[in-house]
Amino acid sequence: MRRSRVKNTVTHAVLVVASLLAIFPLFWVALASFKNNRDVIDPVTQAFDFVPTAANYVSLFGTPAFVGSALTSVLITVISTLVVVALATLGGYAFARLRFPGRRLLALVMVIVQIIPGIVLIVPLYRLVSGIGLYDQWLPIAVIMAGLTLPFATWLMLAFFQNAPLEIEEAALVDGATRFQLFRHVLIPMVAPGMATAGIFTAIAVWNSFLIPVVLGQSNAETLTVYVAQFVTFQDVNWGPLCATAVLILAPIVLFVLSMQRSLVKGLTAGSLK
Amino acid sequence: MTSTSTIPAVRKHPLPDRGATRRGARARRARILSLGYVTPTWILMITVGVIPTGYAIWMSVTDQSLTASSPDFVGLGNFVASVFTPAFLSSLGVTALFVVAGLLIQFTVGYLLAVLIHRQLRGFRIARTVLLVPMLLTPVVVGLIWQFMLSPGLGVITTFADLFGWHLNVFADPWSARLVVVLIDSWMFIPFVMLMLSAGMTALPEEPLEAAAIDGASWWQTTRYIILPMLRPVITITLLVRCVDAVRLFDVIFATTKGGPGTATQSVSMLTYTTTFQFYQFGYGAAMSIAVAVLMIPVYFIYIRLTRI
Repeated sequence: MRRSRVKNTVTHAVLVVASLLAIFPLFWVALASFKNNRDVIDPVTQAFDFVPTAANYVSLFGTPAFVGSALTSVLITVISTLVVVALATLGGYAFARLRFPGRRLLALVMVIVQIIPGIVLIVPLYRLVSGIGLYDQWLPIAVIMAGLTLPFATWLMLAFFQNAPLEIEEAALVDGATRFQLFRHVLIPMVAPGMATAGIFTAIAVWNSFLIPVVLGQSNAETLTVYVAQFVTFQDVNWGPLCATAVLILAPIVLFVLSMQRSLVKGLTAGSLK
Repeated sequence: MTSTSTIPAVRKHPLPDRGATRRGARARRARILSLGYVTPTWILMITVGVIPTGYAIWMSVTDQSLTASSPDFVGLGNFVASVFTPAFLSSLGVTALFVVAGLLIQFTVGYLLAVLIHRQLRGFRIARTVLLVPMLLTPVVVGLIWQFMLSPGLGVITTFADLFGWHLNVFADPWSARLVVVLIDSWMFIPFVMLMLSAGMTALPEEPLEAAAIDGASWWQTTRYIILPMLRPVITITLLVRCVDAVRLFDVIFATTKGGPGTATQSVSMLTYTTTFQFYQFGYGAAMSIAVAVLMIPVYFIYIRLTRI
């Protein structure tokens, strides 16, 4: 009995330490985001000795470049996510339930798109996008990010469709439901949790993306990730505004994770293990 | 849906379409119509995958420098000039180091954490949720946060190290800069390994473990001869996913070391990016990225085999 109590204590201790290590950087950057320019570069021993100020946030929202890139990020994320969820639902259904010509080939192409290094695609994509005059526009970034995130979302929806009972579908078809009615009234309600999960993963992936936007959008179509990377120059770094921007970029993700944790655990394992 | 059923066995043969079970023209019509479900997916995959890959191959064998009036076929010239060079080989070494060191750290720590999570003591869900956070964060921002914590003089980690008389300037020394990149990648993705392995553990049958316990097997014997072999499929796919991701690691390096000091952390992605978008050597960039993809073919092959839909 005593040995298992020691084991439990050790388990709890390790998990607590691991959790603290996972959270601490976020806490630290949030703390720094409420400091003024002098306090933020104070020695760490005086880390808690400051008067909190929202000045960093206030000035960010008065900076057109920040507001513009935030809007671009939101726009690209929303558009890509809507497209991906719609296509992944159709595609996941087809892969789970239908025999269609070219099924294996499409799956192969999708897995390749999923694993190929972004740098292989971005070199030609830069040339192609510039060639058709869409450089520094949000549209190509949204389309490319939708394409790159579609495979994972499709495999996720495939898993959800495979776990959905076939009998209800059959009953609906026997009752004379059209394909559209089947989708609208039977399938979509059944896999709605899957669509939500796929949507969240897609949104996070697009929101976090950096390589594609940094190459394809520099000013007009600058995303938040590209904007925040510019804080670091060779001369010096404005840590206060940088930390505030970091908090604003990460906050939506953390909120999503905390509110959707169960479906995220399922989604991560299902989408990766397929 | 339990956590075990989230690892679906992919059906070798899809369920027959309702219409396809009846023979003749109707079945053919249903099969053609079912293409409608995947046509948009095809269009998107061709646009962002097939066309760019083909174009990259074409770019890699033509003269793409800005001074060239029209792209001429140069055969393997770009490869000779960019791939078979000390700079590229050294960047390959850097990438290999990131992959090997990252996978070792992430697997070891991730496995141990998975064992602890799997014991499902009170509050394990809270720990699992909290540990889920790092892997979903924005890599560029994570890099910047770590740079903040590691800044000489004002960073929280450097100050802590100073207490032990260890004056860190991690971004000035080649090996510590490499270590930092590996550690940041590990901080983000140890939780992923943990999550996958603990999901795999939940799906394991109880009997072999009970039998081992009755036979008095030690913890190490049970792990080495029972748990690890039974987990092999999950371990393989987890490490493959991490390997593929570590090879394309870019954002974290860009946000911390930018490949420095010198070329100490210049991975193949970083070198290709610099060559292409700072020196505008598109032919060289294409050749280098194609070379990486070709080198990765064995890994991709296993990946595709294991995840066959």
